[in-house]
Amino acid sequence: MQKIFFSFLLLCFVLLDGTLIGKEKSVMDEPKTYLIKLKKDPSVKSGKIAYLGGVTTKKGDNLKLPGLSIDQEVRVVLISDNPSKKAGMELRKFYWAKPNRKGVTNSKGEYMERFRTEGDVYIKVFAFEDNVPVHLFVWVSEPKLPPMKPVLVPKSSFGKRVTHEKE
Amino acid sequence: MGVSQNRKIAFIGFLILFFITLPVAAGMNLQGSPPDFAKMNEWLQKAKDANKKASKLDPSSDGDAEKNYNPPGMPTMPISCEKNNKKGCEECYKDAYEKLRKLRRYFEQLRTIYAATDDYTKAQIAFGDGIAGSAGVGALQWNVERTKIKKSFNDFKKAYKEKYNELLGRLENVLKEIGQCEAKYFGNEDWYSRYGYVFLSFIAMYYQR
Repeated sequence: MQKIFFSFLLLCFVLLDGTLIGKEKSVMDEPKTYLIKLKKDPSVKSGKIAYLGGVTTKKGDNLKLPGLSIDQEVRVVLISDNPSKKAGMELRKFYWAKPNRKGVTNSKGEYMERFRTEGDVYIKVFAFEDNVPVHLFVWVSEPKLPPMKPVLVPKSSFGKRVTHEKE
Repeated sequence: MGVSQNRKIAFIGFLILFFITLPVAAGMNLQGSPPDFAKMNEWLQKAKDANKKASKLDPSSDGDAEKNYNPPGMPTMPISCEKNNKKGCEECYKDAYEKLRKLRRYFEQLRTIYAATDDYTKAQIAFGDGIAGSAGVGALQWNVERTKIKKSFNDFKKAYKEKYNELLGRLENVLKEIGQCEAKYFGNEDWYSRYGYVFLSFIAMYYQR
């Protein structure tokens, strides 16, 4: 009975560790990321927000902000609790490529990015020493759709220039 | 099986659980905690002051994804029902008019998703081609990956085509509804073939991939 049990345990370890059963790591495999979940909050007038607080390290933490629309504005604010301990942030559209934006906290311990994009965004938060306390705010606006010109026009103005309709 | 054996097994079980869960929790440095929303509102206020459209994160791929409901060359369609028309025709057009606006939005949404997926796939392949080299194990592994990426994009293209056909069918019905209103209230029996069909053909060509 004991032998069977320990054989089963060994099998579990083998299966758990992918490298022992020959699982190849692809260059396209995503790094370990924490998903940012946005939610509505009555204290913020419009859009959705997410807040994360904790300590970061030299190695940094990878976060993913999924499913954005080009019609939404995104603001990401990084705050270092102690302005003398600088923290940094990188934003990537494709995680494997070079960061699209990067920067470090200023003398007040703040760093903000503002952008629009379609799809997912990878956010890497890091520090220049270990155990630096940071706060990360993410705000995503409601979608603002561009104007749509009417295609059905009264006969009297057919062929004339028409103005845009507001969404 | 004795009591001591049971304890041993329980202890080993506990150790296994401990070692499985430990690596997951250890890396989780950033965790949610009570927010300081006053600070966030301060930052959002700064955003309002700027009052400018935020720039694109990736000008190339996000530029392709930018929505445009008025593509160059899009035809307009004349309708006989005008405001203050005594015939009460507005009700007939109202529903079709809204449906048409929604469909234009869906078509553009579909194009945006296509553009984003196309750019993502191209970026993946360019990156892999760049680092894999042309020979050796790396190249072989990449070749397998490359095939998977291309297959995934082909599957996406099939899904696009299905949605595109569905939306085109719905657009055709809406334009025919407008044609019926034109015929019912103003006797324009050939409105669909003169104007609706031209618009449908433009949309079909513009969103075809």
